[in-house]
Amino acid sequence: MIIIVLSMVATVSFAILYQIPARAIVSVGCLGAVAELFALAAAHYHVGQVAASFTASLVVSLLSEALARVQRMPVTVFAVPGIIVLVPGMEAYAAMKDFVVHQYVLGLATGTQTVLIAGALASGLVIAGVLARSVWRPRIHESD
Amino acid sequence: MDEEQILHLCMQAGCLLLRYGGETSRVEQTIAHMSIGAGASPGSVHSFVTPTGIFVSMTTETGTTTRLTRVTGPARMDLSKVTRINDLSRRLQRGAYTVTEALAELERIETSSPRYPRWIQMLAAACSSGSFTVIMGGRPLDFLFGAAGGLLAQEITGWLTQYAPRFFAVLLAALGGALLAVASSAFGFTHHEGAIIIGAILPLLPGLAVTNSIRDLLAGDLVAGVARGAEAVFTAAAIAVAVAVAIGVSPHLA
Repeated sequence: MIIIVLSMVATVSFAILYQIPARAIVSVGCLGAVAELFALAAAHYHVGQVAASFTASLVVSLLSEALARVQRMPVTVFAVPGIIVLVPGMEAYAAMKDFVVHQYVLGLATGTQTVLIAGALASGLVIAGVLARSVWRPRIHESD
Repeated sequence: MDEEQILHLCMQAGCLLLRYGGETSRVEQTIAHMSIGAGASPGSVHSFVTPTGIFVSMTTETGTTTRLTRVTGPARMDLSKVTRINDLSRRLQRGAYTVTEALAELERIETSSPRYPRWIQMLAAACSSGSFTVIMGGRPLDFLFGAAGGLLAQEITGWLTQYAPRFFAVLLAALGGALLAVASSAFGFTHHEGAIIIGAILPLLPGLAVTNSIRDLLAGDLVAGVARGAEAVFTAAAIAVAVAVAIGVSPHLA
């Protein structure tokens, strides 16, 4: 429970570093909680981290696209802070640590895991973007 | 319809959007919509936007006018201002603004102070880093060390980007934050060195660059997408190097 609250705090604070509009803060906080819930659920049910990150990123990005249209704000306002708690920080750190102590093979394995997770996060963003572009056409295009 | 004024408006809006962290595809779209809102006929204004420069050209019966602006200076991410320019473009298109009023409004947006003052920014950097430290497996006490590291990293980048390339500023900032984490663990205050390091570098992560890069690539702005992607990769590499250095020193501190 406390982790969820902390993830909301982390997300909202990160968003403030990017000076997001005040009326987006509540939705951004909820996105952070959703992302963390996915990460926790994945750890609980022993889902692979890559698959879990991909799903979480996809859901958060889709929600960002939807919120951006409802609240009339750029998608980045929601998507950038939304996925921040999913960043594979621990894996990246472990990989760097392995390299520093000359455990190169271990480092490569952890590094690959990190890159795969980062790639999964990016793919979630990509797929949500493609879906949003084809399904919900931005209103401004209609007037072209 | 005054084409000089329309071009000036488009340029001004585009420059501000780029500088405050809007995607290049959004800038191109905004220029197209604003020019129509300002009275240009649809399809007469074309733009090509890269992260460091904007080309806009406008065709009328009398010929084609082209403008080029180089966008330089340290970017200060401000998504509030991006949102406001977005709203302005929408209202201009609805006819709620004249071109002169829109220019005045742009000027107001540019000169207005940031949405959140400096002390809130510092608090936010500390809170995000501290919370992230605990999420990554630190104990409640580690919140403080993570927060201090994040605040340090954030302040160093803010100060250094005025003088040095962003990539270098991030390198030094990550080094500062990570060294603080390593020192706090070396002097026996904590055992979660890793969690604190990760927390401390959180404010430096190139989140906006990654997202913008992907969105630009999706929109077909290949040059901008690749450039932004390179920026993100370089920043991540700078952070990785700094963390590696800090971990390397840590055994010699205690």
